[in-house]
Amino acid sequence: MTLQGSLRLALIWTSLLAIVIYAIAAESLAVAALGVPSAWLCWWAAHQAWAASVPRLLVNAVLLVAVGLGLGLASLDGQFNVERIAEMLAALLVIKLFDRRTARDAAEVLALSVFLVFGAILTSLKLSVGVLVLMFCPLLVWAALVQQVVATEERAEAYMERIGAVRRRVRSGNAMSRGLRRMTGGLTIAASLIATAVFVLVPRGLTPSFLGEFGAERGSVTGFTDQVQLGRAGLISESQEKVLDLRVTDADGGNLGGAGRVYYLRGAVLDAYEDGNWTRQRRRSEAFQPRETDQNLRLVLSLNTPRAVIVQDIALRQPPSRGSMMFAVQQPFQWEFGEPLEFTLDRRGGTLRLDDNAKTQSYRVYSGLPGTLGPPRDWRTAANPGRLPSFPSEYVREETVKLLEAQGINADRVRRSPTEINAVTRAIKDHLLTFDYTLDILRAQGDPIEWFLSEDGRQGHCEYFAAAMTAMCRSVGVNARVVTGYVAVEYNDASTQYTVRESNAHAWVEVEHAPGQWRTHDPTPPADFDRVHAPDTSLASMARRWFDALEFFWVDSVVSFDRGSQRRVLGGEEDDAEPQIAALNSIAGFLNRVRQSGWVGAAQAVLAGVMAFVGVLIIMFVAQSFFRRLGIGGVRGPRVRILGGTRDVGEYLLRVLDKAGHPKPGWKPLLAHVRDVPDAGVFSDVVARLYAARFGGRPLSAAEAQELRRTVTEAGQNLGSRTPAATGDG
Amino acid sequence: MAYAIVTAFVLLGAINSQNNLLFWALGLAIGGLLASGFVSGMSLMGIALEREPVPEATSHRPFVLRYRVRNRSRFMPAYALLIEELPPKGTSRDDWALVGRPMASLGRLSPRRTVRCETSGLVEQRGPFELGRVRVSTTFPFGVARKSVTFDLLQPALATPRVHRLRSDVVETILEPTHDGTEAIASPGAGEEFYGVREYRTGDRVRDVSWRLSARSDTLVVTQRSARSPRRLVLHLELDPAVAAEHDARVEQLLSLAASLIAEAGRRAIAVSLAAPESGITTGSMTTPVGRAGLLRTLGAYGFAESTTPQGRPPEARFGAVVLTLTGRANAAGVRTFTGEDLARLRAEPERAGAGMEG
Repeated sequence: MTLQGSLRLALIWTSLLAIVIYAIAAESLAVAALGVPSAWLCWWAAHQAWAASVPRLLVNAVLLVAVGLGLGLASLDGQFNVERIAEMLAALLVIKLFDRRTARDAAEVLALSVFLVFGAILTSLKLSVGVLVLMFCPLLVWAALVQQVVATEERAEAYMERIGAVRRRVRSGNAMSRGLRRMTGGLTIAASLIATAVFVLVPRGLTPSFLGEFGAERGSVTGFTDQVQLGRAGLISESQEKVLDLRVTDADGGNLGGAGRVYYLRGAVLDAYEDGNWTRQRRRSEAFQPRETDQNLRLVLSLNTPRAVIVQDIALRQPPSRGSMMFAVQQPFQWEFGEPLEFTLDRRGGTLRLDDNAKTQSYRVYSGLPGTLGPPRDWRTAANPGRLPSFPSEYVREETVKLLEAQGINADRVRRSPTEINAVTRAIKDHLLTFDYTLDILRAQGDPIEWFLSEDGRQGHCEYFAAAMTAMCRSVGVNARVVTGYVAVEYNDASTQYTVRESNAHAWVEVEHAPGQWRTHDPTPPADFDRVHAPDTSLASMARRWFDALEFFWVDSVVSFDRGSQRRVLGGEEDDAEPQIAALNSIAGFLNRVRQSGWVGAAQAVLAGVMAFVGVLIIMFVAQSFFRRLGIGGVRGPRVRILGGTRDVGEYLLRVLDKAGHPKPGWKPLLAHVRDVPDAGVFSDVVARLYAARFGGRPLSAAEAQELRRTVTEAGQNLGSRTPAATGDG
Repeated sequence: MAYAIVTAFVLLGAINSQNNLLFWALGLAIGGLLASGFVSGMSLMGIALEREPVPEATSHRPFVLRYRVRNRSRFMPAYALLIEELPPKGTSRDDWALVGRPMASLGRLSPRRTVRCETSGLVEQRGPFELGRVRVSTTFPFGVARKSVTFDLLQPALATPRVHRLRSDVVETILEPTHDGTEAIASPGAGEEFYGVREYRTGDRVRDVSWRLSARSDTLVVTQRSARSPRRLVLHLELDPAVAAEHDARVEQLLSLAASLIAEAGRRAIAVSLAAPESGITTGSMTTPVGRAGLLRTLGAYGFAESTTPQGRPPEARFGAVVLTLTGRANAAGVRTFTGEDLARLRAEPERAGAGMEG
């Protein structure tokens, strides 16, 4: 195949892959269905004879129209829209595939492909996009290398054409193809290593959004809502779309996750009820405080470090937008983010609402185990003993009183001890366990909680159970609130993390057992909870879990890499503004120490550097010899597989001929070459045997190899004595 | 430049969006930049180049430039090498005889290998010229920047006058052998004309024995035949230096016509001799390609080389010679006279820029 043929292939593969990457990122079947066949058709048409007669002016006019249309559509949105621009780029790419006549056109096609991939990256960061981008890189490198060689040839050809000389195009030999493939591999690896270093070292969080927002629209976290509206869909979602990944460890990094271990990730705390809706009570404005991360990107809610800590590393699948709730296990006392952010803190609920558009998607939360955050306060010394919680429904109160009295529990609205509260909550939970769980959306006549507790109701989903329990507790003076969020139940052994999906959205109850000490209660029947939330255990789901683990790795290490991750990777001091500055400081410190230690220290440092350099050279030399021995690089002539582990006779023969002044030209077959040297008969016999070993399936034995070597040595000595001067090169 | 702009855009996009894949893409771009500089620099470090002597250069006809390129590196192959001729140091592009910059390309050069590659050059003026420096450059692998190494390979060369293909009918009349009586049969040979008789010698063919004469002389006598006389073209250049200085274009046309006639004579195996008495040039009859090439070189160097101007009146053209003169008047009888303007009439093909003709 000629180099031009290779370039044509490289172009179509690069273009098709770029279109596919963008189609996957934008989840646009239309782009894939239209773009891929069109690109292939234009590519095919471009090297038909009639294509050359299409005026270039016409093609350029079509390109201009496409650019105009694309920019016009993009401007209709009123802001810079990546998707519109990317679609325009895809159209330009398809047209340019038809209009590729020179290496410069090929370079434009490659550039458009790269821009389209950038568009895909700005649109989505999902794993499939990342994997395809990784595949795209070596393909792009290969295409660029071939393009460079072709461009050089075309420049020379253009000159020849200008002066009226004729130049024939040469086929790209195996050496060229093999060399370009190796170069592609080497450059891809080298560039990837540098890219990884840049990826890790480039400071994050510096002046984000200074050019405005032009990425894909941010997706809100779905499945979860920060209010409960009974009788509507609310948290009910059967979507398997992943929302976040959670890794739970203790303070020492020990894994606290495991199959069957459930973590409740709180999102919103709701304590105000009206017309079937649970919302956050906003009457007391002092309960909500604007807060922002400190210089260490932390948000510290409590200076008391609990005795037992749950560390949660949360990686959201989509960047959170303004108004998003930040999820955490109960009693969070410290948050760490990857960038400076502003929040609204609900002091009583202990929840955080984001007041920014975040760029990073991961954060770490430290929560204390219940009862470990500060000393317990006496329930008799409540701050406001005169006010007991209530619920504005007489029916609910009557039902609760009836229930408690039937179990011999005092049903008066009085201040209770934790033990009494335990008894009340257990009684209510046990009562609700007899209700039926259903995911059907039930629309009640009148108040939904009253309907749920009535004989006609007694069925509903988690919101009903949580709302009913909260209402019943409050009706008898026990402080309770509805909490919405996610339950982490799907533990992945491969990645030691939980995958949380939209279908894991849930509502539960927190009851105040002592002043300021809230405990989680889930009134949803456990069997139904498992039915709804338990992970699938089929074979397919096991495979999916491996994929999830991979996806988690992708999200955790690539997508959500931020300043916090940088610190962890680079090991910078906590109080340093930037780890890179710390690295520079350490280099400066090293140089200072060398300077202070005088010329002896400097000499030692130089010597160490030289030794390291020499060491690297030796390793490279040994590696090269090893690869040459394996026949991977720099072997001329036939490769011979020799039994007995002796040296390669073919190479030895070439060296002997080389020394005797008869180097083999690259283009000449070995047999033809030895026929042209003196003593051709002896050498021809040796080469014939080597050919038989190489191509005839009759490998050399060790003895035969030795014999051949001896023959070659003797013939070489005779040849050398006849040849006055051994000169020249291959 | 384009690469740098794209990299800058990626940097801006990455900082603005804090998109980690864009940060990685930025790393790739920077990696590509560094790798590009390293690879192109390393691959050129081991390159050595020699230019082979230029065999022939004819004005308006591409001539071959051959190079031997060696990669002395032990490990690093070189790719996409562009080999360009540059003017000698101190010579501007405008003053250089070559059209443009001759370029050759080399797709790949393995480590420790030597290869030959070639390109073509073109000169549009007759006369001596110099090949100067040769630059080997590459933009491999990513076309980010062009790195080069230049070799100073000063080499003199000579461009012979432009050669045209002439109309065959006219050429046949010009090249017809002329008989002025001076072409005596000089030697015996294998022709058909009678040359003489001599005594039989061992080895003579029996069929050559003249039996009648042998009978008369009582000695074996054989008949000898004359050698075939080669067709011959005598070119007589009458270029009065005083006139030639004022008619540069016409001189070139005249020399071009002479070169074209020499080339046509070569095609027809006609011996050619050249005489330019005003410049002291007189050659023998050339029958071989090497001899004709010598004549063309003489024409190429005409006016540039030191010449010996003969004293007194220059000799007249021989009978039957083709006289090429600026004035259109020959100072001898029995000759055919042409001027530079006649070239247009004699030429077989219309003028075409950059198209060289086979000589």
